[in-house]
Amino acid sequence: MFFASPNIKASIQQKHKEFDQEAIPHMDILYNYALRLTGNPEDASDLLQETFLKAYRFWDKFEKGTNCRAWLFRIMRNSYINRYRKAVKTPEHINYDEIKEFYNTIREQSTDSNDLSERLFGQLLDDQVATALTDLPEEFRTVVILCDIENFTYEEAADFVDCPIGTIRSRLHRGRKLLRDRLFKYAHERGFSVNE
Amino acid sequence: MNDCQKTQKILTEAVDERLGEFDRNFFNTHIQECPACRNDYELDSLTKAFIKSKIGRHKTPENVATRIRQEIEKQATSAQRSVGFFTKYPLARAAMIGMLVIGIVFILYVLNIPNFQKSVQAADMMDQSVENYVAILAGAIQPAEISQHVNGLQDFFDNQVDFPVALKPVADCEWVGGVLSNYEGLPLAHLVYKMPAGIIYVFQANWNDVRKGNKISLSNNVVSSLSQTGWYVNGTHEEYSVVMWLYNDETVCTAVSSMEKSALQELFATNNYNQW
Repeated sequence: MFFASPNIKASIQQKHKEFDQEAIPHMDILYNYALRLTGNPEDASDLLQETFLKAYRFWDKFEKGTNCRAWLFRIMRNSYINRYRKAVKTPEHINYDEIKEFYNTIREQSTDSNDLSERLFGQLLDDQVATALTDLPEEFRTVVILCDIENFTYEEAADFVDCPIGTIRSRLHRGRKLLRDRLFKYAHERGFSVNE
Repeated sequence: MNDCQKTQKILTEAVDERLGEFDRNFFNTHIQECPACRNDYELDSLTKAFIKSKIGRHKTPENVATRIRQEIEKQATSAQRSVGFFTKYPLARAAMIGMLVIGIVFILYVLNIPNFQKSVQAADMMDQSVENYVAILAGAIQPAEISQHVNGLQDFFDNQVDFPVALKPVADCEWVGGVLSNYEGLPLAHLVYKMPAGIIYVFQANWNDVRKGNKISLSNNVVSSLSQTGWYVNGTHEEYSVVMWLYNDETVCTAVSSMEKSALQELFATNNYNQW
C-alpha cells in the first residue's frame, strides 16, 4: 500500500475531475426527479445530496463509458426506496366510469382539445398537479416522470428502471389513468366544470 | 381478439406515437369508427399533455448545489490530507520509500519469506479474516454498533456497502456487533457474534470483486469451490475453524471461530436469513 502513496493524490484529483465532468452536470434532472419523488424541496435536497455523496464514494464502481445519468438515477431511486420503504402506498381502487361518462358529454359539445382539457381538469394549480403525481405509487410515478415529463423513450426508461419495455408501457398506461382520475376528482371537488 | 381489444392493447403506444405504419393505420381507422376507443385515446392524450404543461422543471437551488459541491470537496481533501506530507516534501518521501524498500528487501532476504510477491498483490481474504478475528479477540477492533439480534443491525449496514449483508440469526447468541470498513475503496462488512463460549467473526465482501481478485482475492481453488458449490470448508488453520460461503450469489462470507468447523458450517448452512 505504501508504494502507491505518491500516486494517491493524482488519482484523487483525477477522480474529482471525472466526477465533476460526468456526474455533476446531471444535478438538475436529478433534483427534479427527487422533487417528484419526495414532494417537497427539503427532502429533495437531502435525497440529492445523499445521491451525489454516495455516487462519489462509489465512483470506482461506475463503469466508464456507460450511461452515467442512468447510474445516478438508480442510486437515487434505491436510496429513496430504502428510506421510504415502510411507507409504500398500495394503489387505490379506481373507478373510471365517472370520468368517461363525463368526457362523453363534453366531447359532443366541443372538439377543441384545450377547451376539453379545461373542462376536464378545470383550473387546477401546478402545485395540485405536482401533489397528485407525488401521491402515485413509486413504480408508476417514476415511469410517468421519465416518459411524460423528461421525454424519455420507453427504451431509455427501461434501462433506467431496469425492467422490460412491456413493463414500462403497462406502468405508464396505469400511471396515467390513476393520475387522470385523481386530477379529475380534484377538479370536481373544487367545483369546476362537472355540473356545468 | 376483436378490434376494440386490439386497439386497447396498442393505445398507450399510440398516445406516445410509437406505432409502426401498419398498426397506426389500423388504429386510426378504428378510432374513427368507434367513439368509445376514440374517447379513451383522447382522454389519455389530454392527460399526458396536461401533466406536461403543469409540471414545471426546476433548477437545483444554488445553496443546495453549493453545499453538495462542498461536501464532495471535503471528502476529496480529507483523502488527500493523509498523503499531504509526502507530496509536500518529495525528498522526505523519496528517502522514506528508499529506506522502506531497503528495509523490506533486507528482511525478506534474511527471513526468506516465500510469499514476497503475493504480499504486495491483492490481500487474501482468508488470511485477512483470521487476522481480523485475532484483532477482535485482542480488543484491537471493536464493534461500532451492538444489538441483541441481527435484525437490529439492518439500519447500521443499510446503504453502506454495495452488496447484501448476510444477517443470519444464530441461536444462543448473546449479542451481535457490526463494523464497517473500507479497503482501498472496497466497502466491507463485519459481524461479531458473542456466543457463550467465545465469538464468531464473519467477514463479508462483494463476491464480484473478490472473484476477480480486485484488491481482495482468494486462491483459485477456493474461488472455483465457491462458484461450484457455494461453499469452501477445506481451509486449514492450526487454531481456528474457517468456513466460507456465498450469500445470494452477491456476497462472499468468511466465518472464523474456535468452535468445531462442522458446527460452524451448520450455523450458517440453513436458508433462514433475514431478508431486508
